[in-house]
Amino acid sequence: MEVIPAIDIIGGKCVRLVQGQFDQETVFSDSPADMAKEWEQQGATRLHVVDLDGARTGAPENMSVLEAIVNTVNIPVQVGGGMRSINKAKQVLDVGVERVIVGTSAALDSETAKTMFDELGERVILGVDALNGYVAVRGWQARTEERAVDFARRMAALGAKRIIFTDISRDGMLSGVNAFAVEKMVSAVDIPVIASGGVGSIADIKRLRPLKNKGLEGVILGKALYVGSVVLPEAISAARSV
Amino acid sequence: MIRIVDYGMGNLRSVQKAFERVGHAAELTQDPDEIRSADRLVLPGVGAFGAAMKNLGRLELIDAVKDYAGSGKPFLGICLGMQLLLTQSEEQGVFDGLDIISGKVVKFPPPDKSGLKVPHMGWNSLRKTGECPLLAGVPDGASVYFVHSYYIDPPKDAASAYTDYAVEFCSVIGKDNIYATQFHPEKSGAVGLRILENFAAI
Repeated sequence: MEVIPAIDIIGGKCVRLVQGQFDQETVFSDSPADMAKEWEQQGATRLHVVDLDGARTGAPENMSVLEAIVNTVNIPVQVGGGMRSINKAKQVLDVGVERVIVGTSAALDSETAKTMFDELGERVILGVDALNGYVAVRGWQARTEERAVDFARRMAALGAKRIIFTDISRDGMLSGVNAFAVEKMVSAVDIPVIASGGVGSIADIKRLRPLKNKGLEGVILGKALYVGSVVLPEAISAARSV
Repeated sequence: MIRIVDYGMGNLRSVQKAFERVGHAAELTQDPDEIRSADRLVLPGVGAFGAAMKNLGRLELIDAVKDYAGSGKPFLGICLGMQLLLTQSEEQGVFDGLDIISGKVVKFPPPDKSGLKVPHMGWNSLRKTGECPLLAGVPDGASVYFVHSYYIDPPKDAASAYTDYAVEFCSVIGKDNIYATQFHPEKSGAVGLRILENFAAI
């Protein structure tokens, strides 16, 4: 199981939010590229970067920062935020990003989703954001009537190759991972799943580790790394050992 | 001076920056004379084989790259830049390569036969076949980062490492002054940087 540090960007800075709320922002670094280098030096094999401005406006807003990150580190970088169309996704991939994340709201337009899956294949990941088991949309302020597992199955049938599953009630809370929801998701689909949201301790990683055999490919670590409740090298070895 | 051939196939900045990180300036070039006079030459590349050969031809760089390879000075091909060294590719038709290393570029077996996805995208390990200066200090089994749908089938004596993915394919070439990696050293963390450092020291 791969441990993937997250770098969230607002206005060119590395921040963390609580449950996706923009008024609960903490700045952790003025230089996301330095942050990226730090995680690489601590052993990260991949980075998860979220352009939160892009997520809000619907178009990539921090291109120069993304480029700086990609050119600073020597590991693959995946990017989410603002990927509402194939052209925006390609624009981000063109700077050397490994794969882009198409958000839940964008994917609810099945035509956009299908175009992305067809054209980008392994280079696009579907973001599935869930609140109490249901698909969450609009900056996580609203939920739909579709169950997250049904949405994931529907998207896999449409051609999605990989999912990032975020339990938004846990994101930025350090309240512990919702391993039960993650297990339901990995059991629902045949494509690899990366879990995100709520990891607050090494115990959480150990809780997720057995799901590796069911298709849990990785776990994204955000706030826990920034507040120090999890140390990256420890997390990496905890995710690795059997 | 390390020179990187810039022929319009992908973002080369990350390769350039990676060399800078290990303390070596590298410059991008599209000039045949600069290619011939380089101390070390890197041929990177992302994309389709046919388009890459077409670009090299249009920029009149094919002879320059071949002349350089024949000069005995260290040469490094990366990913598509490795595949271009072969005689021929069957990627979307049959295309002639640079024919610096004999052999073909072939496609992975279809996913339904192997159960594995194509492209091969992600971290995978190296099985070294012997001592190769490019891999000095790189342990057997080290993980490196791949993105490719085709692989090369060169003569055995040209292969310095293999990687297993549905088939066992040659992931590193080390033959005389010609070195190449199927993976991206510029994306392969500390191991990748070590490889670039090794190349700069050969």
